[in-house]
Amino acid sequence: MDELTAQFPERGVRFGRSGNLVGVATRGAGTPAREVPTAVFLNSGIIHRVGANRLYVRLARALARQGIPSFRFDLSGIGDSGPHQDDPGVTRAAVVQRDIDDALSVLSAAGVERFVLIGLCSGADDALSAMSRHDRVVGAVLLDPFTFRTLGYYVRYYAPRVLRPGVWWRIITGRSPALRNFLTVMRGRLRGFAKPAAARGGGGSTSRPTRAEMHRQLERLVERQARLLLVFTAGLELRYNYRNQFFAAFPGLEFRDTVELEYLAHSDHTFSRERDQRRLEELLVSWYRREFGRPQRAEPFGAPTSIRTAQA
Amino acid sequence: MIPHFFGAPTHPLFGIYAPSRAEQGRTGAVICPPVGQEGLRAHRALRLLADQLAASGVDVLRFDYFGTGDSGGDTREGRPPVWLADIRLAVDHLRELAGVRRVVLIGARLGGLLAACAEARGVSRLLLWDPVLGGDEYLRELEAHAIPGDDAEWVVQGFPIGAEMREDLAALTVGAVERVPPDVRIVLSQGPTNLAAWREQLLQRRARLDVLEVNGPAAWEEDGDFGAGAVPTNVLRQIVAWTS
Repeated sequence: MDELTAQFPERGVRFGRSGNLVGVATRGAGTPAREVPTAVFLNSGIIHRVGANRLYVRLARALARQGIPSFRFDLSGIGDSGPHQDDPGVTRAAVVQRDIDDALSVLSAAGVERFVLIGLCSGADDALSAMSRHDRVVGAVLLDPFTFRTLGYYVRYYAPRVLRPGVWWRIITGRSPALRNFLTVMRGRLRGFAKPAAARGGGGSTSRPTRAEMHRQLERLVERQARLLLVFTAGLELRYNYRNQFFAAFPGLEFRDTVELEYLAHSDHTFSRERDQRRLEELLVSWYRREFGRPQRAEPFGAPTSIRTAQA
Repeated sequence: MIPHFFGAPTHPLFGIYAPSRAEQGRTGAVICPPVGQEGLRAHRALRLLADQLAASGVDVLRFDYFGTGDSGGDTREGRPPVWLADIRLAVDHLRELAGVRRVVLIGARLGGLLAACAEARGVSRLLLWDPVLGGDEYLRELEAHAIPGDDAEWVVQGFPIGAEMREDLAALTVGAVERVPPDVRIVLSQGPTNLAAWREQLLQRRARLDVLEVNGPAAWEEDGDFGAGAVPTNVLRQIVAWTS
Protein backbone atom coordinates (compact mmCIF):
# COMPACT_ATOMS: atom_id res chain seq x y z
CA MET A 1 0.00 0.00 0.00
CA ASP A 2 2.92 2.37 0.72
CA GLU A 3 4.15 2.09 -2.85
CA LEU A 4 0.67 2.88 -4.09
CA THR A 5 0.30 5.97 -1.93
CA ALA A 6 3.78 7.50 -2.03
CA GLN A 7 2.85 9.65 -5.01
CA PHE A 8 0.24 11.65 -3.08
CA PRO A 9 0.78 14.77 -0.96
CA GLU A 10 -1.40 13.30 1.77
CA ARG A 11 -1.24 9.95 3.42
CA GLY A 12 -3.59 7.82 5.48
CA VAL A 13 -2.04 6.69 8.75
CA ARG A 14 -3.11 4.08 11.26
CA PHE A 15 -1.42 4.44 14.64
CA GLY A 16 -1.83 4.50 18.41
CA ARG A 17 -0.81 2.10 21.15
CA SER A 18 -3.84 -0.07 20.30
CA GLY A 19 -3.59 0.59 16.57
CA ASN A 20 -7.12 1.97 16.72
CA LEU A 21 -6.48 5.55 15.57
CA VAL A 22 -6.75 6.86 12.00
CA GLY A 23 -5.38 10.09 10.62
CA VAL A 24 -4.33 11.87 7.46
CA ALA A 25 -0.89 13.47 7.23
CA THR A 26 -0.58 16.40 4.85
CA ARG A 27 2.88 17.20 3.54
CA GLY A 28 3.99 20.80 3.52
CA ALA A 29 5.20 21.98 0.12
CA GLY A 30 8.54 20.17 0.18
CA THR A 31 9.67 21.45 3.57
CA PRO A 32 11.34 19.06 6.00
CA ALA A 33 8.99 18.69 8.96
CA ARG A 34 11.50 19.84 11.59
CA GLU A 35 11.81 23.37 10.21
CA VAL A 36 8.32 24.50 11.04
CA PRO A 37 5.91 23.19 13.69
CA THR A 38 3.48 20.60 12.38
CA ALA A 39 -0.17 21.55 12.84
CA VAL A 40 -2.27 18.88 14.53
CA PHE A 41 -6.05 19.20 14.18
CA LEU A 42 -8.30 17.90 16.97
CA ASN A 43 -11.91 16.75 16.48
CA SER A 44 -14.66 19.20 17.29
CA GLY A 45 -17.29 17.18 19.14
CA ILE A 46 -17.93 13.95 17.24
CA ILE A 47 -17.42 15.38 13.74
CA HIS A 48 -14.69 13.35 12.04
CA ARG A 49 -11.29 14.71 11.09
CA VAL A 50 -12.39 16.60 7.96
CA GLY A 51 -13.98 19.12 10.34
CA ALA A 52 -17.31 20.91 10.30
CA ASN A 53 -18.16 21.82 6.70
CA ARG A 54 -14.80 20.23 5.71
CA LEU A 55 -13.07 23.17 7.40
CA TYR A 56 -10.02 21.24 8.65
CA VAL A 57 -9.27 19.90 5.16
CA ARG A 58 -9.35 23.42 3.78
CA LEU A 59 -7.12 24.79 6.54
CA ALA A 60 -4.66 21.89 6.29
CA ARG A 61 -4.24 22.43 2.55
CA ALA A 62 -3.91 26.19 2.97
CA LEU A 63 -1.07 25.54 5.42
CA ALA A 64 0.48 22.97 3.06
CA ARG A 65 0.65 25.57 0.26
CA GLN A 66 2.78 27.64 2.64
CA GLY A 67 5.09 24.70 3.30
CA ILE A 68 3.50 23.81 6.64
CA PRO A 69 2.77 20.11 7.28
CA SER A 70 -0.23 18.98 9.28
CA PHE A 71 -1.95 15.96 10.72
CA ARG A 72 -5.70 15.45 11.08
CA PHE A 73 -6.83 12.46 13.10
CA ASP A 74 -9.82 10.98 14.86
CA LEU A 75 -9.85 10.46 18.61
CA SER A 76 -10.88 7.03 19.92
CA GLY A 77 -14.47 6.18 19.01
CA ILE A 78 -14.85 9.12 16.61
CA GLY A 79 -14.82 8.99 12.81
CA ASP A 80 -12.68 6.12 11.58
CA SER A 81 -10.89 5.48 14.87
CA GLY A 82 -11.99 2.46 16.83
CA PRO A 83 -12.89 2.52 20.51
CA HIS A 84 -10.08 2.65 23.07
CA GLN A 85 -9.00 -0.56 24.75
CA ASP A 86 -8.52 0.93 28.20
CA ASP A 87 -10.08 0.05 31.49
CA PRO A 88 -13.76 1.13 31.38
CA GLY A 89 -13.08 3.35 34.41
CA VAL A 90 -10.75 5.63 32.45
CA THR A 91 -12.37 9.03 31.89
CA ARG A 92 -13.07 10.36 28.40
CA ALA A 93 -10.77 13.31 29.12
CA ALA A 94 -7.92 10.91 29.92
CA VAL A 95 -8.57 8.91 26.72
CA VAL A 96 -8.52 12.11 24.65
CA GLN A 97 -5.21 13.23 26.14
CA ARG A 98 -3.71 9.76 25.64
CA ASP A 99 -4.80 9.80 21.98
CA ILE A 100 -3.20 13.22 21.52
CA ASP A 101 -0.01 11.85 23.12
CA ASP A 102 -0.09 8.98 20.60
CA ALA A 103 -0.50 11.40 17.69
CA LEU A 104 2.45 13.50 18.86
CA SER A 105 4.49 10.32 19.35
CA VAL A 106 3.89 9.03 15.81
CA LEU A 107 4.86 12.43 14.43
CA SER A 108 7.93 12.61 16.69
CA ALA A 109 9.00 9.20 15.41
CA ALA A 110 8.82 10.68 11.90
CA GLY A 111 11.16 13.51 12.94
CA VAL A 112 8.74 16.26 13.96
CA GLU A 113 10.10 18.32 16.85
CA ARG A 114 7.49 21.02 17.43
CA PHE A 115 3.70 21.13 17.20
CA VAL A 116 0.84 23.57 16.95
CA LEU A 117 -2.54 22.22 18.05
CA ILE A 118 -5.65 23.47 16.27
CA GLY A 119 -9.21 22.83 17.39
CA LEU A 120 -12.75 24.12 17.16
CA CYS A 121 -15.03 24.03 20.21
CA SER A 122 -14.20 20.89 22.24
CA GLY A 123 -11.11 20.52 20.03
CA ALA A 124 -9.91 23.89 21.32
CA ASP A 125 -10.46 22.81 24.93
CA ASP A 126 -8.56 19.57 24.33
CA ALA A 127 -5.76 21.52 22.65
CA LEU A 128 -5.33 23.81 25.65
CA SER A 129 -5.20 20.84 28.05
CA ALA A 130 -2.64 19.01 25.90
CA MET A 131 -0.57 22.13 25.38
CA SER A 132 -0.17 22.60 29.10
CA ARG A 133 1.34 19.10 29.35
CA HIS A 134 3.72 19.22 26.37
CA ASP A 135 6.45 21.81 26.08
CA ARG A 136 7.03 20.77 22.46
CA VAL A 137 3.59 22.12 21.66
CA VAL A 138 4.77 25.63 20.90
CA GLY A 139 1.45 27.10 19.84
CA ALA A 140 -2.27 26.56 19.54
CA VAL A 141 -5.12 27.92 17.47
CA LEU A 142 -8.27 27.86 19.56
CA LEU A 143 -11.51 28.38 17.64
CA ASP A 144 -14.44 29.23 19.91
CA PRO A 145 -12.84 27.66 22.99
CA PHE A 146 -14.63 27.39 26.30
CA THR A 147 -14.24 30.51 28.36
CA PHE A 148 -15.85 32.31 31.27
CA ARG A 149 -18.55 34.94 31.30
CA THR A 150 -17.61 38.34 32.72
CA LEU A 151 -19.40 41.41 34.04
CA GLY A 152 -18.99 42.94 30.58
CA TYR A 153 -20.70 39.90 29.06
CA TYR A 154 -23.70 40.18 31.38
CA VAL A 155 -24.04 43.94 30.79
CA ARG A 156 -24.08 43.40 27.02
CA TYR A 157 -26.44 40.48 27.32
CA TYR A 158 -28.99 41.96 29.70
CA ALA A 159 -28.87 45.70 28.88
CA PRO A 160 -30.88 45.46 25.64
CA ARG A 161 -33.32 43.08 27.29
CA VAL A 162 -34.18 45.18 30.36
CA LEU A 163 -35.39 47.93 28.06
CA ARG A 164 -38.10 45.68 26.60
CA PRO A 165 -41.40 45.99 28.54
CA GLY A 166 -42.41 42.43 27.63
CA VAL A 167 -39.42 41.04 29.51
CA TRP A 168 -40.51 42.70 32.78
CA TRP A 169 -44.06 41.47 32.31
CA ARG A 170 -42.82 37.88 31.91
CA ILE A 171 -40.66 38.20 35.05
CA ILE A 172 -43.57 39.60 37.11
CA THR A 173 -45.88 36.85 35.91
CA GLY A 174 -43.23 34.15 36.47
CA ARG A 175 -43.10 33.18 32.76
CA SER A 176 -39.58 34.37 32.02
CA PRO A 177 -37.35 31.57 30.66
CA ALA A 178 -34.27 33.59 31.66
CA LEU A 179 -35.47 33.85 35.25
CA ARG A 180 -36.25 30.12 35.34
CA ASN A 181 -32.79 29.32 33.94
CA PHE A 182 -31.16 31.63 36.48
CA LEU A 183 -33.00 29.99 39.39
CA THR A 184 -32.14 26.50 38.07
CA VAL A 185 -28.45 27.40 37.79
CA MET A 186 -28.39 28.96 41.26
CA ARG A 187 -30.11 25.93 42.80
CA GLY A 188 -27.58 23.66 41.05
CA ARG A 189 -24.70 25.74 42.31
CA LEU A 190 -25.97 25.70 45.87
CA ARG A 191 -26.26 21.91 45.73
CA GLY A 192 -22.84 21.69 44.09
CA PHE A 193 -21.13 23.66 46.83
CA ALA A 194 -22.36 21.11 49.37
CA LYS A 195 -20.47 18.31 47.53
CA PRO A 196 -16.79 17.46 47.74
CA ALA A 197 -14.63 19.18 45.06
CA ALA A 198 -13.97 15.93 43.16
CA ALA A 199 -17.69 15.35 42.70
CA ARG A 200 -18.11 18.83 41.16
CA GLY A 201 -15.72 17.99 38.36
CA GLY A 202 -12.56 19.88 37.48
CA GLY A 203 -10.48 17.11 39.02
CA GLY A 204 -9.50 15.55 35.71
CA SER A 205 -12.90 14.05 34.94
CA THR A 206 -13.78 16.75 32.40
CA SER A 207 -11.83 18.61 29.74
CA ARG A 208 -13.32 21.92 30.95
CA PRO A 209 -11.19 23.43 33.69
CA THR A 210 -12.26 25.69 36.52
CA ARG A 211 -11.35 29.36 36.16
CA ALA A 212 -8.41 28.91 38.57
CA GLU A 213 -7.13 25.88 36.64
CA MET A 214 -7.43 27.66 33.31
CA HIS A 215 -5.65 30.68 34.82
CA ARG A 216 -2.75 28.44 35.89
CA GLN A 217 -2.64 26.73 32.46
CA LEU A 218 -2.48 30.07 30.67
CA GLU A 219 0.04 31.51 33.11
CA ARG A 220 2.37 28.61 32.41
CA LEU A 221 1.96 29.00 28.65
CA VAL A 222 2.81 32.69 28.90
CA GLU A 223 5.88 31.88 31.00
CA ARG A 224 7.23 29.53 28.35
CA GLN A 225 6.34 31.96 25.56
CA ALA A 226 3.94 29.57 23.79
CA ARG A 227 1.92 31.29 21.07
CA LEU A 228 -1.87 31.37 21.00
CA LEU A 229 -4.27 32.46 18.29
CA LEU A 230 -7.79 32.74 19.69
CA VAL A 231 -10.72 33.17 17.33
CA PHE A 232 -14.18 33.78 18.73
CA THR A 233 -17.33 33.96 16.63
CA ALA A 234 -20.80 35.38 17.09
CA GLY A 235 -21.98 31.77 17.04
CA LEU A 236 -20.90 31.55 20.67
CA GLU A 237 -22.96 34.57 21.71
CA LEU A 238 -24.60 32.82 24.65
CA ARG A 239 -21.14 32.50 26.18
CA TYR A 240 -19.00 35.14 24.50
CA ASN A 241 -20.31 38.45 23.23
CA TYR A 242 -17.54 41.03 22.93
CA ARG A 243 -14.03 41.10 21.58
CA ASN A 244 -11.95 41.31 24.75
CA GLN A 245 -14.06 39.09 27.00
CA PHE A 246 -11.31 36.48 27.13
CA PHE A 247 -8.78 38.96 28.51
CA ALA A 248 -11.36 40.32 30.96
CA ALA A 249 -12.00 36.80 32.25
CA PHE A 250 -8.38 36.61 33.46
CA PRO A 251 -7.74 40.11 34.82
CA GLY A 252 -4.61 39.17 36.75
CA LEU A 253 -2.81 37.67 33.73
CA GLU A 254 -0.34 39.67 31.68
CA PHE A 255 -0.45 37.97 28.26
CA ARG A 256 2.15 40.31 26.72
CA ASP A 257 2.59 39.39 23.04
CA THR A 258 1.86 35.67 23.38
CA VAL A 259 -1.84 35.86 22.52
CA GLU A 260 -3.56 37.16 19.42
CA LEU A 261 -7.32 37.38 19.52
CA GLU A 262 -9.84 37.87 16.72
CA TYR A 263 -13.55 38.30 17.18
CA LEU A 264 -15.55 37.51 14.04
CA ALA A 265 -18.81 39.25 14.82
CA HIS A 266 -20.55 37.96 11.68
CA SER A 267 -19.39 34.37 11.60
CA ASP A 268 -21.33 31.41 12.91
CA HIS A 269 -19.74 28.76 15.13
CA THR A 270 -18.76 26.40 12.28
CA PHE A 271 -17.62 29.07 9.78
CA SER A 272 -20.25 27.84 7.36
CA ARG A 273 -20.00 30.78 4.94
CA GLU A 274 -17.27 31.07 2.34
CA ARG A 275 -16.23 34.56 3.46
CA ASP A 276 -15.76 33.37 7.06
CA GLN A 277 -13.75 30.32 5.98
CA ARG A 278 -11.59 32.53 3.79
CA ARG A 279 -11.07 35.00 6.66
CA LEU A 280 -10.11 32.21 9.04
CA GLU A 281 -7.72 30.74 6.48
CA GLU A 282 -6.02 34.13 6.10
CA LEU A 283 -5.80 34.62 9.88
CA LEU A 284 -4.29 31.18 10.39
CA VAL A 285 -1.72 31.38 7.61
CA SER A 286 -0.58 34.91 8.49
CA TRP A 287 -0.36 34.08 12.22
CA TYR A 288 1.63 30.92 11.49
CA ARG A 289 4.07 32.76 9.25
CA ARG A 290 4.45 35.62 11.72
CA GLU A 291 5.06 33.36 14.71
CA PHE A 292 7.10 30.58 13.15
CA GLY A 293 8.61 32.11 10.07
CA ARG A 294 8.49 31.00 6.48
CA PRO A 295 9.81 27.57 5.64
CA GLN A 296 13.20 27.89 3.99
CA ARG A 297 12.65 25.70 0.96
CA ALA A 298 9.53 25.39 -1.10
CA GLU A 299 9.16 22.47 -3.46
CA PRO A 300 6.02 21.35 -5.24
CA PHE A 301 3.25 20.22 -2.91
CA GLY A 302 3.43 16.47 -3.18
CA ALA A 303 6.83 15.26 -2.05
CA PRO A 304 6.62 11.99 -0.10
CA THR A 305 6.21 12.13 3.66
CA SER A 306 8.29 10.08 6.06
CA ILE A 307 5.24 8.87 7.95
CA ARG A 308 4.55 5.27 7.06
CA THR A 309 1.10 3.86 6.59
CA ALA A 310 0.53 1.17 9.17
CA GLN A 311 -1.52 -1.70 7.89
CA ALA A 312 -4.06 -3.79 9.69
CA MET B 1 -8.76 -1.23 8.07
CA ILE B 2 -6.32 0.50 5.74
CA PRO B 3 -6.64 4.24 5.12
CA HIS B 4 -5.01 5.25 1.84
CA PHE B 5 -5.20 7.41 -1.26
CA PHE B 6 -5.75 6.03 -4.75
CA GLY B 7 -6.36 7.31 -8.26
CA ALA B 8 -4.22 9.74 -10.24
CA PRO B 9 -1.81 12.06 -8.40
CA THR B 10 -3.79 15.00 -9.80
CA HIS B 11 -7.06 13.44 -8.70
CA PRO B 12 -6.42 11.70 -5.38
CA LEU B 13 -9.29 9.85 -3.74
CA PHE B 14 -9.26 8.84 -0.10
CA GLY B 15 -10.46 5.36 0.75
CA ILE B 16 -10.57 2.99 3.67
CA TYR B 17 -10.21 -0.63 2.75
CA ALA B 18 -11.64 -3.12 5.23
CA PRO B 19 -10.62 -6.66 4.17
CA SER B 20 -13.01 -9.49 4.91
CA ARG B 21 -12.44 -11.02 8.32
CA ALA B 22 -14.09 -14.29 7.32
CA GLU B 23 -12.61 -17.14 5.29
CA GLN B 24 -15.30 -17.23 2.65
CA GLY B 25 -15.02 -13.60 1.47
CA ARG B 26 -15.47 -13.61 -2.29
CA THR B 27 -17.77 -10.58 -2.45
CA GLY B 28 -16.62 -6.99 -2.55
CA ALA B 29 -18.64 -3.91 -1.68
CA VAL B 30 -18.00 -0.27 -2.51
CA ILE B 31 -19.87 2.19 -0.32
CA CYS B 32 -21.03 5.40 -2.02
CA PRO B 33 -21.75 7.98 0.68
CA PRO B 34 -24.17 10.91 0.65
CA VAL B 35 -22.59 14.34 0.03
CA GLY B 36 -22.47 17.67 1.84
CA GLN B 37 -23.70 17.83 5.41
CA GLU B 38 -25.54 14.51 4.90
CA GLY B 39 -22.22 12.88 4.05
CA LEU B 40 -20.55 14.21 7.21
CA ARG B 41 -23.40 13.07 9.42
CA ALA B 42 -23.70 9.60 7.85
CA HIS B 43 -19.98 8.94 8.23
CA ARG B 44 -20.21 7.05 11.50
CA ALA B 45 -23.10 4.81 10.36
CA LEU B 46 -21.25 3.95 7.13
CA ARG B 47 -18.09 3.20 9.08
CA LEU B 48 -20.00 0.72 11.24
CA LEU B 49 -21.66 -0.72 8.14
CA ALA B 50 -18.23 -1.36 6.58
CA ASP B 51 -17.03 -2.97 9.79
CA GLN B 52 -20.05 -5.29 9.96
CA LEU B 53 -19.73 -6.20 6.28
CA ALA B 54 -16.06 -7.08 6.73
CA ALA B 55 -16.95 -9.24 9.73
CA SER B 56 -19.53 -11.07 7.61
CA GLY B 57 -17.05 -11.95 4.84
CA VAL B 58 -17.20 -8.95 2.48
CA ASP B 59 -14.17 -6.96 1.31
CA VAL B 60 -15.21 -3.34 1.65
CA LEU B 61 -13.99 -0.06 0.24
CA ARG B 62 -15.39 3.18 1.62
CA PHE B 63 -14.23 6.26 -0.20
CA ASP B 64 -14.76 10.02 -0.56
CA TYR B 65 -15.66 11.48 -3.95
CA PHE B 66 -13.33 14.16 -5.35
CA GLY B 67 -13.93 17.49 -3.58
CA THR B 68 -15.47 15.77 -0.56
CA GLY B 69 -14.16 14.40 2.74
CA ASP B 70 -10.44 13.65 2.74
CA SER B 71 -10.18 13.32 -1.04
CA GLY B 72 -8.37 15.87 -3.16
CA GLY B 73 -10.03 18.91 -4.60
CA ASP B 74 -11.77 22.01 -3.42
CA THR B 75 -15.40 21.50 -2.41
CA ARG B 76 -16.51 23.40 -5.54
CA GLU B 77 -14.61 20.98 -7.79
CA GLY B 78 -16.74 18.04 -6.70
CA ARG B 79 -19.64 17.57 -9.13
CA PRO B 80 -21.82 14.61 -10.22
CA PRO B 81 -20.06 13.74 -13.52
CA VAL B 82 -16.76 13.60 -11.62
CA TRP B 83 -18.32 11.52 -8.85
CA LEU B 84 -19.73 8.97 -11.33
CA ALA B 85 -16.23 8.46 -12.72
CA ASP B 86 -14.91 8.21 -9.14
CA ILE B 87 -17.33 5.35 -8.41
CA ARG B 88 -16.11 3.46 -11.50
CA LEU B 89 -12.53 4.01 -10.37
CA ALA B 90 -13.34 2.83 -6.82
CA VAL B 91 -14.91 -0.39 -8.15
CA ASP B 92 -11.80 -1.14 -10.25
CA HIS B 93 -9.58 -0.26 -7.28
CA LEU B 94 -11.42 -2.66 -4.94
CA ARG B 95 -11.23 -5.42 -7.52
CA GLU B 96 -7.47 -4.86 -7.70
CA LEU B 97 -7.04 -4.68 -3.91
CA ALA B 98 -9.20 -7.65 -2.94
CA GLY B 99 -9.13 -9.80 -6.05
CA VAL B 100 -12.91 -10.13 -5.93
CA ARG B 101 -14.94 -10.72 -9.07
CA ARG B 102 -18.36 -9.94 -7.63
CA VAL B 103 -18.88 -6.34 -6.49
CA VAL B 104 -21.95 -4.86 -4.83
CA LEU B 105 -22.41 -1.09 -4.93
CA ILE B 106 -24.01 0.25 -1.76
CA GLY B 107 -25.24 3.83 -1.93
CA ALA B 108 -26.96 6.01 0.64
CA ARG B 109 -29.11 9.04 -0.27
CA LEU B 110 -27.43 10.88 -3.21
CA GLY B 111 -24.82 8.11 -3.13
CA GLY B 112 -27.66 5.74 -4.05
CA LEU B 113 -28.63 7.70 -7.14
CA LEU B 114 -24.96 8.08 -8.11
CA ALA B 115 -24.43 4.32 -7.70
CA ALA B 116 -27.45 3.64 -9.93
CA CYS B 117 -26.17 6.04 -12.60
CA ALA B 118 -22.48 5.07 -12.49
CA GLU B 119 -22.63 2.21 -15.03
CA ALA B 120 -19.59 0.67 -13.35
CA ARG B 121 -18.25 -2.51 -14.97
CA GLY B 122 -18.88 -5.87 -13.33
CA VAL B 123 -21.22 -4.73 -10.58
CA SER B 124 -23.63 -7.55 -9.84
CA ARG B 125 -25.97 -5.78 -7.46
CA LEU B 126 -27.05 -2.33 -6.33
CA LEU B 127 -28.08 -1.91 -2.72
CA LEU B 128 -29.59 1.52 -2.23
CA TRP B 129 -30.37 2.94 1.20
CA ASP B 130 -33.13 5.56 1.03
CA PRO B 131 -31.75 6.71 -2.32
CA VAL B 132 -32.48 10.12 -3.76
CA LEU B 133 -34.79 9.20 -6.64
CA GLY B 134 -33.91 12.09 -8.94
CA GLY B 135 -31.52 15.03 -9.06
CA ASP B 136 -34.41 17.47 -9.57
CA GLU B 137 -36.13 16.22 -6.42
CA TYR B 138 -32.86 16.51 -4.50
CA LEU B 139 -32.41 20.08 -5.70
CA ARG B 140 -35.78 21.00 -4.25
CA GLU B 141 -34.69 19.54 -0.91
CA LEU B 142 -31.45 21.52 -1.03
CA GLU B 143 -33.26 24.73 -1.94
CA ALA B 144 -35.43 24.42 1.17
CA HIS B 145 -32.27 24.65 3.30
CA ALA B 146 -30.31 27.09 1.12
CA ILE B 147 -29.19 30.57 2.07
CA PRO B 148 -27.73 32.93 -0.54
CA GLY B 149 -23.95 32.89 -0.91
CA ASP B 150 -21.56 34.73 -3.24
CA ASP B 151 -22.01 34.70 -7.06
CA ALA B 152 -25.53 33.23 -7.14
CA GLU B 153 -24.29 30.31 -5.09
CA TRP B 154 -26.50 28.57 -2.59
CA VAL B 155 -25.00 27.69 0.77
CA VAL B 156 -26.67 24.55 2.06
CA GLN B 157 -25.74 23.77 5.65
CA GLY B 158 -22.20 25.01 5.15
CA PHE B 159 -21.61 23.60 1.66
CA PRO B 160 -21.64 25.67 -1.56
CA ILE B 161 -23.98 24.67 -4.39
CA GLY B 162 -23.13 26.70 -7.50
CA ALA B 163 -25.07 27.11 -10.73
CA GLU B 164 -23.06 24.39 -12.54
CA MET B 165 -23.63 21.96 -9.71
CA ARG B 166 -27.36 22.66 -9.89
CA GLU B 167 -27.34 21.93 -13.64
CA ASP B 168 -25.48 18.67 -13.08
CA LEU B 169 -27.85 17.60 -10.34
CA ALA B 170 -30.92 18.42 -12.42
CA ALA B 171 -29.61 16.11 -15.17
CA LEU B 172 -28.97 13.22 -12.79
CA THR B 173 -31.62 10.54 -13.35
CA VAL B 174 -31.66 6.80 -13.71
CA GLY B 175 -33.70 7.36 -16.90
CA ALA B 176 -30.59 8.76 -18.57
CA VAL B 177 -28.37 5.69 -18.12
CA GLU B 178 -28.13 2.79 -20.57
CA ARG B 179 -27.60 -0.08 -18.16
CA VAL B 180 -27.96 -0.92 -14.50
CA PRO B 181 -26.92 -4.09 -12.67
CA PRO B 182 -29.50 -6.90 -12.93
CA ASP B 183 -30.26 -7.02 -9.20
CA VAL B 184 -31.37 -3.80 -7.50
CA ARG B 185 -32.41 -3.75 -3.86
CA ILE B 186 -33.74 -0.71 -2.04
CA VAL B 187 -33.91 -0.35 1.73
CA LEU B 188 -36.39 2.28 2.89
CA SER B 189 -36.01 3.42 6.48
CA GLN B 190 -38.10 6.59 6.39
CA GLY B 191 -41.49 5.15 5.52
CA PRO B 192 -43.12 4.17 2.20
CA THR B 193 -41.91 5.84 -0.99
CA ASN B 194 -43.47 5.69 -4.43
CA LEU B 195 -41.01 3.68 -6.52
CA ALA B 196 -43.33 3.00 -9.50
CA ALA B 197 -41.33 5.19 -11.92
CA TRP B 198 -38.06 3.61 -10.82
CA ARG B 199 -39.47 0.11 -11.11
CA GLU B 200 -40.52 0.92 -14.69
CA GLN B 201 -37.11 2.38 -15.58
CA LEU B 202 -35.35 -0.66 -14.13
CA LEU B 203 -37.64 -3.10 -15.93
CA GLN B 204 -36.81 -1.40 -19.23
CA ARG B 205 -33.15 -2.06 -18.41
CA ARG B 206 -33.84 -5.70 -17.50
CA ALA B 207 -33.20 -5.22 -13.81
CA ARG B 208 -35.27 -6.63 -10.98
CA LEU B 209 -36.19 -4.43 -8.02
CA ASP B 210 -36.71 -5.72 -4.48
CA VAL B 211 -37.77 -3.32 -1.76
CA LEU B 212 -37.60 -3.71 2.00
CA GLU B 213 -38.96 -1.29 4.57
CA VAL B 214 -37.05 -1.22 7.88
CA ASN B 215 -37.83 1.75 10.06
CA GLY B 216 -34.90 3.46 11.75
CA PRO B 217 -33.52 6.92 12.45
CA ALA B 218 -31.95 8.72 9.46
CA ALA B 219 -28.18 8.38 9.57
CA TRP B 220 -27.77 11.59 7.53
CA GLU B 221 -29.79 13.84 9.84
CA GLU B 222 -28.28 15.47 12.90
CA ASP B 223 -28.76 13.36 16.02
CA GLY B 224 -29.06 15.92 18.82
CA ASP B 225 -26.71 18.89 18.47
CA PHE B 226 -23.51 17.02 17.71
CA GLY B 227 -23.03 17.35 13.96
CA ALA B 228 -23.25 13.60 13.40
CA GLY B 229 -26.13 11.32 12.54
CA ALA B 230 -27.73 8.38 14.28
CA VAL B 231 -26.65 4.77 13.77
CA PRO B 232 -29.73 2.71 12.84
CA THR B 233 -28.45 -0.74 13.80
CA ASN B 234 -31.50 -2.61 12.49
CA VAL B 235 -31.12 -1.01 9.04
CA LEU B 236 -27.39 -1.81 8.96
CA ARG B 237 -28.13 -5.41 9.89
CA GLN B 238 -30.53 -5.71 6.95
CA ILE B 239 -28.06 -4.17 4.50
CA VAL B 240 -25.37 -6.62 5.66
CA ALA B 241 -27.76 -9.55 5.25
CA TRP B 242 -28.66 -8.43 1.74
CA THR B 243 -25.05 -7.85 0.68
CA SER B 244 -23.25 -10.96 1.84
